[in-house]
Amino acid sequence: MKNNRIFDVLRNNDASQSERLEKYIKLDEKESERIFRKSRAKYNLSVCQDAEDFSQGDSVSGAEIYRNQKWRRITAAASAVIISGAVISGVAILLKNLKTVDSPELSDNSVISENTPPEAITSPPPDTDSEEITKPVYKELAVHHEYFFEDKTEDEVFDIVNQNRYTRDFSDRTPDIDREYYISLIETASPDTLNSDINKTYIYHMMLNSIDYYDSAEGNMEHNSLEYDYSENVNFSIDMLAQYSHMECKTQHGEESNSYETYHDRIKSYYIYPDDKTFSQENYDSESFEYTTNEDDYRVVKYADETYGTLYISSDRKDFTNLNIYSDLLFPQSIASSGLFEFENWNIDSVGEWNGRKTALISGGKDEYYFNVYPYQPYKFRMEIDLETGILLSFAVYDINDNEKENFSIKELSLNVEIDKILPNIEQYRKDGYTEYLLNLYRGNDDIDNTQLAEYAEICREFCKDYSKAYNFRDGSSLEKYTDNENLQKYLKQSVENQIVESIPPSDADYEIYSIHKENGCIIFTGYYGDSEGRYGMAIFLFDVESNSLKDVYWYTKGSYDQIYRSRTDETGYDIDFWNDRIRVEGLFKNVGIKF
Amino acid sequence: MTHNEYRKLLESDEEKAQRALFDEYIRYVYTIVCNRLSGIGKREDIEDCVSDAFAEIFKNYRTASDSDGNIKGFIGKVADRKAILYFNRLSSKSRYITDMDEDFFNSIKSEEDISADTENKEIRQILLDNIEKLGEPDSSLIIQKYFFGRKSSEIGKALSMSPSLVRMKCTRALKRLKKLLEESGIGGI
Repeated sequence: MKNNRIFDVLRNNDASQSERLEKYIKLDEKESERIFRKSRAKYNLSVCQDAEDFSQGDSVSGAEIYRNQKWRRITAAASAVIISGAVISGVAILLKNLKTVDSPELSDNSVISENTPPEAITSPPPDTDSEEITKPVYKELAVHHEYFFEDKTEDEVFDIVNQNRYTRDFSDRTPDIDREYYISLIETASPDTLNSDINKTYIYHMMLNSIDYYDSAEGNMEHNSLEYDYSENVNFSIDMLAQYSHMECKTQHGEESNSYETYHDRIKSYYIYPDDKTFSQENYDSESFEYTTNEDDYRVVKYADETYGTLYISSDRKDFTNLNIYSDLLFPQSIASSGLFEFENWNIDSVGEWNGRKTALISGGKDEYYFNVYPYQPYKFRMEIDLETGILLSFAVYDINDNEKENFSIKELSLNVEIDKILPNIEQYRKDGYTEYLLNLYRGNDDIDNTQLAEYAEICREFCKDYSKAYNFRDGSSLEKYTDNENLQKYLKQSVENQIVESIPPSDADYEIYSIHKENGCIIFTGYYGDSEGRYGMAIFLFDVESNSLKDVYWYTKGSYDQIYRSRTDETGYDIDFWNDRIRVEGLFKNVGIKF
Repeated sequence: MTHNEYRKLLESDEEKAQRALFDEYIRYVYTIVCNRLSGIGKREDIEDCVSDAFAEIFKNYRTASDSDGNIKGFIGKVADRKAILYFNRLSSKSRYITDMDEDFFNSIKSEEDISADTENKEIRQILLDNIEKLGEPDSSLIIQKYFFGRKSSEIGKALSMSPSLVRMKCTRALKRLKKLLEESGIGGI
């Protein structure tokens, strides 16, 4: 490809050129079937997610079928500077028809009799000393059992996972196992017994549930990508019971350095960019401590799919660290459930110590592509895990030739310390964009009148329909016959006067809303529309709440009142950061009589 | 297939309806995705993106209101939107920091950019015309190899040729194409 650069121009072509290329694609039956099955699986999960979102508000626990994406989260996520609600919901694909059960006990194991259920239970030492009667009552840690449902359908496996799901309250949690005992097993193990199932089970359990073993934390962590010459240094402080977090992040990519801060305070998140003195904000509609989860062995299960091979259903519990993309060290459940789920792929190498804390050093790897941090290449890893909490202290990834690719490490850590709650002084920053209410979050938010929103949404749709009908008559005197919308008339006439030729006018556009913003007495709908001819683009509608009227419309891909946008075609897709450009946004608002 | 035809089928058998929609538009969606990702995404990324697009299409048409329109436009829109998201995600791997403002400014075309775009469109047109002039199977070989990023073995399987024959034919087709493009005033291969 790189030797034939002329072919690069074939990319980013327009619709007619795409159609010319379409006839050349040859997909064999197997490939086509694989994509269809994958589409169906994602569709099923997505539909169920919506149902679950509706019933569970902002819960971010859930399950997903995955093949190759899990470990990539930490690397891919680390690349994102702007953290949005979409990121959170993106990793929170919820489980189909989840039913919460009152008891944390596992359901009837006869349902899952495909494999031998867990047998070997290692009991803590018997309490013979009467003084120990007052000790907490711990549960026994069942040796990890890897469930592989070879003869069940996807729906049946979902049902099984579902039956082993329960609801808990994070604020009521107490350590459930005798950590001292299990740590002693690891510390005193001989080389022959160090990798016993129970020792591995303990490490796996702790990583899956690390947040049950501390309430607050502060410290410093680093991330280095040797391959991309990129590094991050993060100071963090979290108080999970107060639902508070603060993070200061400095990044270095080659010669370029950047910094930003995030704050999470119950139902609000702030993103501060000190370098350019801007901030943005997100709101959430719930601060519940309630969450649903599965017992460890049902956090990830696998099953055989006729076409697609082995598939996994994973179910993460809600992350209370509020560190978003950086939670993978303090709460490494994703890494454990994807990388350590199959015990034969890793080993405990030794026991160590880090700043006075007892640790386990483990290593492993796999050569199947779905397991890779770096897509489609075999890899190896090394980790150091705090035995008392399951916190991942360091994590390094190597290629098959032992060349280090990437590492993450905690440099300083204090647990269960009092965290001073600091909130940003946003007075000194200017707003970067608008307060955003993602569609799946604004439901139930009193700040926006949902009836009014529905009315506005209908206006948007009607506007699109009018536009479709009126476009072809825009240069005639009969334009008013086709639309009585003055804004639309104004736009169409202006487009004629300014010789704005829209090469691909929509004919039967339908409008689908992507996000809603509210600011300064205005509600802004951002959405996209498509028509029957393969034409599509963004349309942004601005309503003035006080006058309850449509004030302006931007056709993101077709031009707008503001001629700056005339040349914008379909290169950028839908992107709410469009609104980050203050000068242009102010210009727009000035046009419609709204001042900042 | 129109929206209403799909809706009717959907009422009787969801999977069958989705299968029919998929079979009709898979090549269209795949092409749109390749349009954005070829050269930057791996084959698996393209497949993931295509399946994401279809999942969203299935989901949207599950609840969409009746319409007499053909649904190709909507499908194209969703596919391209997904492809752009994947493109941004895959691009960020090499850049890591995605400064959205910077992206936005970069995406605003200067006059030079617009001029370059127009030029690229013309070049694309000439290139496609000349590739088609090569005739089959050479046109297919070139497009599959350089646009869809297929391996010689895959192309060979689809066109009933050995991989070595595919490579040989590709080399020859490229030479012919180079000559045709030079005649059209374009070099660069």
